[in-house]
Amino acid sequence: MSKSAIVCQNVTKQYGVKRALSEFTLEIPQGRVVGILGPNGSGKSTLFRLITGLTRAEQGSIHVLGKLPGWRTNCDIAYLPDRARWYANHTVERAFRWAEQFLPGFDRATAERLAEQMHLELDMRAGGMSRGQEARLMLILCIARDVPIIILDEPFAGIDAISRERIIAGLIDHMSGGDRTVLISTHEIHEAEALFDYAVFLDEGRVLLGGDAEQLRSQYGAIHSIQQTLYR
Amino acid sequence: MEERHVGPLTFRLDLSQPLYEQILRQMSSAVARGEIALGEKIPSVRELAQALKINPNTVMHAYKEMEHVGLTETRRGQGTFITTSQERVNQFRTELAKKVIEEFLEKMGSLGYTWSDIEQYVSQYKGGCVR
Amino acid sequence: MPVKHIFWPLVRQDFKWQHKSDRVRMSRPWRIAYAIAITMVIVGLTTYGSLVGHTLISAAWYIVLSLPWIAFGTSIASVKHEWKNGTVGWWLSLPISRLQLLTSKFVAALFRVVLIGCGLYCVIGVLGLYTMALQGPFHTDVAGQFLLTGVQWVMLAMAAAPFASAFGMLFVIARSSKVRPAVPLIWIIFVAIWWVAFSQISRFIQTGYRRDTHALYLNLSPNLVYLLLASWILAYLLIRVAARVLDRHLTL
Repeated sequence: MSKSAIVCQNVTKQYGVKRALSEFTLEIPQGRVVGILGPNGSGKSTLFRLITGLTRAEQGSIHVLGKLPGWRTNCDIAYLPDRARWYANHTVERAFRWAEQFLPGFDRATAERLAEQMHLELDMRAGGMSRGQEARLMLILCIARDVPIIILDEPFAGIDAISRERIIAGLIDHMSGGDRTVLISTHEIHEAEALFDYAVFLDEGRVLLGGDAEQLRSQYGAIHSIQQTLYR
Repeated sequence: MEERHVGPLTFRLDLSQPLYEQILRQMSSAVARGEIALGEKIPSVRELAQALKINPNTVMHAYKEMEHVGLTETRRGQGTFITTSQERVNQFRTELAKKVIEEFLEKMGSLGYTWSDIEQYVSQYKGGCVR
Repeated sequence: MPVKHIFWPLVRQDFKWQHKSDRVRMSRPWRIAYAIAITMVIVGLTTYGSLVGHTLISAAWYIVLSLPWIAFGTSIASVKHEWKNGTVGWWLSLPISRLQLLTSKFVAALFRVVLIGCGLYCVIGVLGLYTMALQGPFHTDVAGQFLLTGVQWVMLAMAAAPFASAFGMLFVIARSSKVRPAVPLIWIIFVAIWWVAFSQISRFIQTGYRRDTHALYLNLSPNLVYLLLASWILAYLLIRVAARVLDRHLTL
């Protein structure tokens, strides 16, 4: 448990004149379910894009399981991008075949079990799905993978309550045991906070507060109330 | 705070307190009250996490702690069971009772009551007690 | 998972990709109806044209010169499609190098061009022979010359496709990156290259017209090979540059 899944040291990422991350330093231990929390524009998505090698930092260093991020480390990461959609012409079944082909560690049997649990039929087409159903499909594509790191960028955004509940149930079911690290960014802290056993609060590209969720609870109270005090 | 029922057990979790402590406390009071029988099987980590909608690692932490203090026993391949030792359960009851009294005394103390005041108040309530 | 295992599946997936999302796709009977209607119009026009006057059927081969533009367009569309449909995050986080990611789209675009080229060749070939038969007298050697010229045109157009496709890749990726201000510059260079190539084209390709058979024919210089080779090397370099931009300079 002492090993780190992700280490960021003095990372600065700039978009034009705006700093998305500013001398950002963070260490995420392995095997935790980490809530990456903060308002819009606080740098959550940028952090994830840097971890997955989608963009590069101007300064500082990032290590994913001890390696520099890039397409090679993406073999070890299941990543749900923010505002992602799925290929409209794919059915659930075809999406699973796609994942078997392209996503390392994807397990078809697990995916089908999750699909059943989350009420998705194999012959539904992504193009005809509700946002919630599509979100469930994409979540399955991420969590049905046997990889050490799972990153979910706003998995609950714009989704109906039932889908949210099913996604949470699917996550809980799949997080049990192992040294898998799960990073989840979300606005809906209230519903998701009991999922986390580690929480990091970001603001304007910096870490405001971070640590073991149970310790944070005993020190400051509920995580959503910490959020309210921090960003007042 | 929402009540959630898992088999014979009822949990009320307060998100502003460490969750594993609450699980531990509520499980031991369920045993002390006799809501769950000695030697009875309790839900698996995954089941409880699912029912309470909380992190499985947190539940795991609570379960480890319960086993550590002797409240439960894990049988390989069968799951986790409440201890069969009545003696140990009695011990838990005593401990819980002690804790309640300690808290009570501390609160009364902080309100400025002396021991004799407290004694007097408690004896007034003697008839209205639960048992 | 080794890279080679996902490269070709990726090419296949990029190749199969449809421009329009399935949401607006027509049902099968409608597609058949449209296919029949279009065929009838083309055949009707051809028949009318060949009966009324002498159509210069060999000129129809010029249509295949659109192939490089099709390569350019489909390359742009296949990348843009990932952005537009919100799948770019999935695409970019595939465990495969940026160069391979782009190459798969590039190869898929070329396959598509080859497919379209063959289709065009067949359609024009058949219509040409049909016209010749209507106008009569039908000479096999003239028909053979016509079909051979067609092969030359199609091959030539296909050979120019890699450069156009690679250029399209660089163009579309530059547009969503920090090097976006360079996009007009890229255009200028592109136009300049085409202009130079076309101004020199008579050194490599001569078109001729045979009055007796109304046939356009092509004389290809052996030096053309060097020109095409140069364009392919350039295409490779463009893809490399595009991959580099995709890797380092995206504005996501």
